[in-house]
Amino acid sequence: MLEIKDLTTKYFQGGKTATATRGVSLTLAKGSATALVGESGSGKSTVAMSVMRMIRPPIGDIVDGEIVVNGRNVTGASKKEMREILRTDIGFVPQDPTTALDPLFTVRSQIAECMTSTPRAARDDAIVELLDSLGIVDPRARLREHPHQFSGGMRQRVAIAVALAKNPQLLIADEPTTALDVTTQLSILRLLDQLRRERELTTLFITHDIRVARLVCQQVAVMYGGVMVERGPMDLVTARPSHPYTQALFSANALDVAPRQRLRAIPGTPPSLTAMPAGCPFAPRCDNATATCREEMPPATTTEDGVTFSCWNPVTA
Amino acid sequence: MTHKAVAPTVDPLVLEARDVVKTYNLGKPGEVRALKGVTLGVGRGEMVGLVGESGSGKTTLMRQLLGIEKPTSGSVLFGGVDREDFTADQRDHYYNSVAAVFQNPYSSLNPRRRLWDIITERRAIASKTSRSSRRDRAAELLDIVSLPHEYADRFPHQLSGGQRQRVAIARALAEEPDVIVLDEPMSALDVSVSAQIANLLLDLQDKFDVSYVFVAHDMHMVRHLCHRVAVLLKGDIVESGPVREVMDGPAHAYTRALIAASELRSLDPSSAEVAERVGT
Repeated sequence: MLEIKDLTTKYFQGGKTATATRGVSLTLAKGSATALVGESGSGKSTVAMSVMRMIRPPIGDIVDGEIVVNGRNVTGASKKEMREILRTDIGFVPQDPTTALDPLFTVRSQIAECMTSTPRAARDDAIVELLDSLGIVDPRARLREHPHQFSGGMRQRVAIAVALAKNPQLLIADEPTTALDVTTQLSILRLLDQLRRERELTTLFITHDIRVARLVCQQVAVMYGGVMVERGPMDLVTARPSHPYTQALFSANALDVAPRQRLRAIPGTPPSLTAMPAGCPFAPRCDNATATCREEMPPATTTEDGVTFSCWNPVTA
Repeated sequence: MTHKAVAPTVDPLVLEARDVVKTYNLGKPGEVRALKGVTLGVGRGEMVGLVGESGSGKTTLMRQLLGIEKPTSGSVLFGGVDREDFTADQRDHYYNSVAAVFQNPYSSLNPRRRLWDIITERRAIASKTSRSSRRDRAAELLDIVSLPHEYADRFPHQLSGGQRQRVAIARALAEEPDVIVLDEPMSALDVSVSAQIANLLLDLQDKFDVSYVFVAHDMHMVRHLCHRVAVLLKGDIVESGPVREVMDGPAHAYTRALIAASELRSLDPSSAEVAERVGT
């Protein structure tokens, strides 16, 4: 459904280049949900933006690699072709629905804008049906309301409706629940999971929180410093992480120490994208790091379970 | 540490809100009752969690505790003395001793000021303090929050989110406070950075015996960090008590839903799992 091969994306900032992703490969099967997990600056959003070809000169460019969405090559597409792919195939759910929806337009007009394949007369009914399926009460009465009349969770449902209006093949959700309350978060997650099952919607779920990802995704891909450090089936990776970063990330989050005891935080800070070390980006913060780690990028290893990781000294069970 | 003497306390609580009611007049008929008689206090060296969804009134309560707003009725006590009865000295001491760390370190630090200036601003307002003594104090504080001294001359935009939140914490510590009110200090940060900040907060509490009011929208960090927790719903505290007790046997349905949503164990909405957790 979505295939990313050796994606390298750079940003250009006043003469300097920042390498946001380095040789990222990822394959999403139809109807599956994949979590793209990483900290800020790890390049996870850049991958999503690259898939939608939102990164173009002068801000940056895809310098290497290939992206195929639903059999269509995105990297080679012209702007016109890309517009067509975005119009029909890819739905995007933003992080913050408050800023993503236009405050000046009604909910109806913002959703209708994306329903280019539905005849004009049928659009209202289609929108009502869509909003109803997303759990908005009495949708017909709310069509002419503006985004500020909706609560945060309801606004995110409207944003999801905008993404789904085109009946996309691929849904990219960039931290869709970060701005929401926990109880609302759970209902949005439930909704995304239900959509994936009912519509066979391939989902790329971008998040920094593995606890959230675990609930809705079957596959996980962990990024650090622009590199895909580990990917594979969610249950395998969470149970036995191979890359030291994956392990550190999971255990920083686990709260499995006694109350009010120090958490196993990862010391140090992530590397800057403009000054990326030559070898493994995690080497400066890694307990297992050796001289090789600092000088040479580790190759990807795939185990027989289907877990792929890039590390010279993986975690031994 | 030099703390000015406060009126002798009858009550062991350092900072306390008693029956606080806050109503906002929205300029049209009808008013919003943001707080409907809330009582919450924090003892010395204690960490109290205040949990609720958006609109529950947790920010409003925080504003009353910090003295940014005056309650419509009820009282805020610091060191056992009602804010309304403060002498001028007590008022100064109160404003110096109750500090805050805000949710978003990207907007809570003035982008046009250098870090040393941001951290020690309070000192410049309170009295004429020399630039060099403020810089020295800033260096000390940066040290306490584990940031290099060279950062003193940097601007906020040169720092990562976690580093900015450390700066915000350093600023809160500047006047050796008794209480720090933390308004969702980790919600704008990555999980691994959250763990670093959580560790820092625990270390500072060990070192300075400071009290924390930890405002959060979920139980995740609260259960790890806090001694006591209060659950706020629509302006009322529906449940409060020691964290362990509330987590193990939540009495109110909303608390149960909140715990289930915070634990993120499954997508299943059924209360069976909640009941099971309550049983254990």
